[in-house]
Amino acid sequence: MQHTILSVTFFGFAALVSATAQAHVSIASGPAFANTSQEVSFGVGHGCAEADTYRVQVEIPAGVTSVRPETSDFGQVDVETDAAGTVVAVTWTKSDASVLPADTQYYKLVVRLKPPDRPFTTVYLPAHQTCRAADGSETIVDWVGINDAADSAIEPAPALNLVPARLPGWNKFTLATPVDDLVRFFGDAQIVWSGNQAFSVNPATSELIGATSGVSALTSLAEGAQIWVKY
Amino acid sequence: MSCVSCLLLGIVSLGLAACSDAGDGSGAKAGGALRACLELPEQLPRPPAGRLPCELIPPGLSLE
Repeated sequence: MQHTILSVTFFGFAALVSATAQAHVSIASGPAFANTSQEVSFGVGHGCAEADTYRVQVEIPAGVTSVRPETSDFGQVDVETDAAGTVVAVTWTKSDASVLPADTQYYKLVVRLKPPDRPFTTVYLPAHQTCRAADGSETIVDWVGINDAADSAIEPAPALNLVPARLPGWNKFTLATPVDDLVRFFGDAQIVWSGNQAFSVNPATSELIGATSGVSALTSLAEGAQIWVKY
Repeated sequence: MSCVSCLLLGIVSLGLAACSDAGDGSGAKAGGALRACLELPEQLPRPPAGRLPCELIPPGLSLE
């Protein structure tokens, strides 16, 4: 009998962990322009353990300014400020009556903000997701991990990748920081050049890079590198 | 050959020359007027084959 109870407890815990791992609060609007006011969307892909999301709080790190949340049909939106009046957190809360009996919805939460002037870096905005089950019990999942391993027990914080403002066509940039993950920052570029090295996420263009005499594959960028990027 | 025939032959020759120039897909015609690519379907860029097309080479870079 005790074994049965332990088994049920174990599988119940495993199911909870599994359901929690499927939940996700992340940036849904893609890379953001550095030092530019713009809308940034957070996507809430799942609730927790089959319970609906009741509240989402997003921490605003230092350097992110001009924060104003967009009115949301999710529920009430509140901002928390420090002594200087700077917004340090935004919280979306459903009304009790609008909490769903099951985890069936995708939610998009929008904030207008201005990221710091640090292109080709990533700003992390830790989030805390509260879910409420039909019996009223609540579960909180913290999305706060930064650069943790993929198998880490800590859920990853929403990551906002910053890119410089640009125009359609050719753009010339000088990097103030090294870039190892080109896909992260150049996923929407037609092609990136540094000297005779080129990179493109497009497989057809990438194949042409490899086939063109005098051109080699660009895999990373050093600090101070001058690059041409075509959007 | 009458003068009218000479005039018509000249006009046709000019038209053929306009269609055969500027094969770079730019819609430009050397020494002539710029025209929209849609009006020059024979000069539209073709899918690249074998190497990067010139529009993906950045300014100032020359590849041997």
